[in-house]
Amino acid sequence: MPEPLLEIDDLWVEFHGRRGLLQAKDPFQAVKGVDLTVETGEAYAVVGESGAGKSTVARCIVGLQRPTRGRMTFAGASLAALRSRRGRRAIQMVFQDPYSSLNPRLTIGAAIVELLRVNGLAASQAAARARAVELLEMVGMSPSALDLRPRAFSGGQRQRIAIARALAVEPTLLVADEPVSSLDVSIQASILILLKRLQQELGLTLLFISHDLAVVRQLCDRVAVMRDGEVIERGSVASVLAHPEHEFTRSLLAAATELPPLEIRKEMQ
Amino acid sequence: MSIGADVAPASLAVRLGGRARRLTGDASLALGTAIVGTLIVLVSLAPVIAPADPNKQDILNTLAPPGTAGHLLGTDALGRDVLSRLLYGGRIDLFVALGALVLPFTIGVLVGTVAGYRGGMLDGVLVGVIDVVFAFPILILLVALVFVLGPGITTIVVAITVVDWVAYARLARTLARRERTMEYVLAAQVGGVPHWRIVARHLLPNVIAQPVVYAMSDAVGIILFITTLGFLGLGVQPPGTDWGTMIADAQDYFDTNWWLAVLPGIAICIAGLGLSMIADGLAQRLDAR
Amino acid sequence: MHAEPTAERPILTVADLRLVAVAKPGDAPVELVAGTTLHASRGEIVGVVGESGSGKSLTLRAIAGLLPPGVHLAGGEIDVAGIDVARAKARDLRRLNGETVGMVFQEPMSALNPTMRIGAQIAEAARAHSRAQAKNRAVDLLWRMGFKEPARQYRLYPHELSGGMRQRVMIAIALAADPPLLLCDEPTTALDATVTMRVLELLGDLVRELDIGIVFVTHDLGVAARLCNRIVVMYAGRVVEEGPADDVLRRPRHPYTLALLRAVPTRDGRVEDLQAIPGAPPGSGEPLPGCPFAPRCAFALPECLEPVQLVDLGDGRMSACRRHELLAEAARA
Repeated sequence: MPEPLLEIDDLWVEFHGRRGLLQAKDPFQAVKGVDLTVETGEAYAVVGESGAGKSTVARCIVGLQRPTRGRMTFAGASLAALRSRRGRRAIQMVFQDPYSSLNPRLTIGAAIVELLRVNGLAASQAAARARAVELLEMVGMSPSALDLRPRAFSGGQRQRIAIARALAVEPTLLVADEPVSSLDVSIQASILILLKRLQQELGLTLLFISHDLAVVRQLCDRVAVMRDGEVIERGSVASVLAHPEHEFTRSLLAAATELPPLEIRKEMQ
Repeated sequence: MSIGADVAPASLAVRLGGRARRLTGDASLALGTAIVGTLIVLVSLAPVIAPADPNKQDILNTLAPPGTAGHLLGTDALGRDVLSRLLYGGRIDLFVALGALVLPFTIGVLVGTVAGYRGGMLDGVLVGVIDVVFAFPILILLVALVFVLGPGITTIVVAITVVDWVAYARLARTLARRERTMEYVLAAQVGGVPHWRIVARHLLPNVIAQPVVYAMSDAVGIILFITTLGFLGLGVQPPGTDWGTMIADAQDYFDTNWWLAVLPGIAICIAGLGLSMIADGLAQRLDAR
Repeated sequence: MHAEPTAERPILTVADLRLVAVAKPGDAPVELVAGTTLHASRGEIVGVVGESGSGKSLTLRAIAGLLPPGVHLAGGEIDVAGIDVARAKARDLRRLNGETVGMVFQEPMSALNPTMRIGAQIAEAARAHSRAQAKNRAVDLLWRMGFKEPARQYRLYPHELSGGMRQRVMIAIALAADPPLLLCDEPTTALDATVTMRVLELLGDLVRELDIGIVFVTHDLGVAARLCNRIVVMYAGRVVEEGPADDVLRRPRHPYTLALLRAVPTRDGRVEDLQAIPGAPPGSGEPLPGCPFAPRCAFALPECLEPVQLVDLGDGRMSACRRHELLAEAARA
C-alpha cells in the first residue's frame, strides 16, 4: 500500500485577538485537532459551512498559515521542513475569488512567465512564453490571452487562467479553495469538468474545499465534513452522501441543490 | 447589492457613475497641468527670457511702477527688475519644491510598503516613528531643523525629507497592508516568488497611485514652506532670490507700491492652484477606475 | 414547502419592460432589459432565475422604483396593486414603497444600519400612528421571524446577529408597513446552505400567513426549485421561459433552461450527466438581432437570428424559442 501523499495529524490553528486595551481576547480556535490523509491521485473534498475552518486548513497546507500545533507530512517528509521554495512548489493553490487572484497590472503572460523563471523552470524568456502558451491551451484558453490583462476576461476565464498559473510550477497536489463558488452556474460546470480532466490527465492529486455537497459529489472520491474547526465525518463520497452518520452532514445534504429529475429524452440533451 | 453584479461587463457600472466625474476630473487635470507646465517652462527659460539680471541694482530707477520702459512689472526698492526676479525666484521655489518632493516620496513609499507587507517588528517600529513625528507641529519642527542646520537650500531639502517621508510611509503602509491580503499576492507567495520581487512587481505598482496624488497636494505645502522660510529670511540667502524673500523685501513699501508684494503672492497662488488641480484630477481618475 | 396561490389575485403586472442605461447625455443608450413580462399574485412565489447580465436584478429594482442613476425606463408598464409605478413621480414612489412593496436585499450587513438597534429599524419602517404601536408591530414581526425573545432581542444591534438572523430582520423591515408584494434580490446567496433552508421555509410560511406575493430573484436553481410556485427564466435581458416551477424544471421548453439544468451539479445527479454550456453570455450593449442564446444553442437554426417573441404555450407556459415544440416532443411520457 503506497504511503499517502498528504497526512495531517492533529492540526490546531489558534488566532489571537485583542479585546480592550489591556486584556487579550481568548484565542479563537479555527482548527481543532484535524486529521486528514489524502492518497496520491485522488480527489479529496473538505466540506463545511463558512467559518468551519476548511480554508484555514487549506492555507496551512499551502504554507500561507502557520499552524499552532500539529504535524503535516507530504510525500513522507515533514511539510514544515519543506520550507524551501523547491519543496513548497509541489503544492499549489487555486483561490476562490477570480477577481482578486490575478494581479490587475500584469499581463497573463507576465504573471505565468514570472513563476516559471523564478522557479528555474524555463531557460529563457522565449522558452517561458512557449510554456505559458502550453499551459493556457491545457486549460482551454487561446494563446492570445498572453498579452492581455485580467480585466479582459470573465470570471470563468480568470479561473482557468488561475488554474494554468497554479499548474505552471508542476505541482503534485493542487488545493482548490472554493474555486467555483463565485462563478455563474453555467460556468461552474466547465471549471469542474476541467479540473476533473486535468486531474486524470496529469495524475494530479486534488484537495477540493467547498461548501456545496452537490459540487463535491461531481468531482471527488473521498470527503471530510468539517464544522466549527473539527472533522465530524469522513469517508468515500458515495457512502457519506448515501448514509450520512452525523446530524450536521444530514442537514448539509438536505440543503444541497436538489432538482426534480429532467424528463427529456437523452438524445436531446 | 451593486448593479455591477447583474450587468455583465464591469466597465458599464463604472462608466455610469464615473463618467460625469471623469469629465470634471479630466478638465481639472488638463488645466492644472497646463498651468504648472507653463510655469515650469517659463522659469526654466529664465536665463533666456528674463529682461535683466535679477540682482542688478539700479539706484536711479528704484520703485518704478509696472509699465515703465524696460521693466514690464516695475522695479523694487533697489532698482532690480521685478519680472526677472519673479522668473529666477520661481526657479528656486518650483524646482526645489518638486525636487524636495522626490526624496520623501521615494523613502516613504518604499519603507511604508515593505513595512506594510512584512508586518512584525519593522512595522511596529515604523508605526511608532510615524506617531512620534506626527505628534509634532510640522512647521515648528521644520523651522527648528533649519535653525540647527543653518539656512540654505540644502537645509530646506533635508528638513522636508526628514519630516515629510512619514506621510507617504503611512499611506503606503495602509495600502500595502490591504494589498498583501489580495489573492494574487498569496498566489505569488505560494508560487515561490521571493519577497523582494513581490514587493517590487506586485505591491508597489498597485500601491503607488494614491501617494502620487498626495504628492501633488503635498507640493503645494512644500512651496508654501519654502516661500515662508524665504519670507523669514531662513531660506535662500542673497544673492539668490525667491518669491518669499521678494515679499519680505516688499513689506515696507506695501502702502505705496503694493504690487511688489502682491505679484510674488499671485505667483505662489497660481503655482498652488495648478498643483491642486492636478491632484484633484488625478484623484478623480483614481476613483473612477 | 410550496405555497399555493389562493386564486388569481394579481398584485404585480410587468409588461414589455425595457430598461436602458445612458452613461452621459448624447451617448447611445445601452439596452439592459428588453421587453420583460411577468406577473405575480397574492399567495404565490414567483422565482426569477438567471445569471449575471440577465437583467433580473434590474427588473426587480425597476418594480421597486430603485433604479440606479443612469438607468431608466424606456418602455413598458409596471403595475403594483393598481399603481402605475412606471409613470409615478419619484415623490409618489417614496410614499408607496413600504406600503406597496417591501424589498429584501442580498447583503444584510450593508442594508441594515449598523448603529441602530434592529427593533428601532423595524419600527421605523412600520409607519404606525404612534411609537408604541410601531414598537408593538416590531416585536410582533420579530416573533413571526422566529426570534424567541422578541422583547429582549428588539434591542440588539445588527453585528450581534448571525447572517441568517440579519436577513430575517431585513424581511421584517420589508414587511413592516404591510405591503402586499415582497421583492427579494438574492437574499440567500450570501448565507450558508442550512441557514438558507430556514429562510426559505420562513418565506413560504409568510406567504401563507400574510397572503402576500413574493418575487424572488436568484441564480440558484436549487433554491428556486425549493421555494417557488412559478419560475421565470431570464437571459441577456429578456424572459426566455416561464411556467409552473415543477413543470419548467422537469420539462423545459427553452434550450437555455435545458442547458442550465444540465450544467448544475445536483445532490442526486449523475456525474456523467454534467454538461457545461459553451461560450459566454453576451455583454450588455452587444446588438442581438435574434434570439440571444442562439450562439450557444445546440438547437439553433438560421431562423434563430430573426427576432423571437415570447409565446404563450397554454397552461401558464411561455417560451421564447422557435423550436419549443421540439423540446415538447422530447419530453418523455
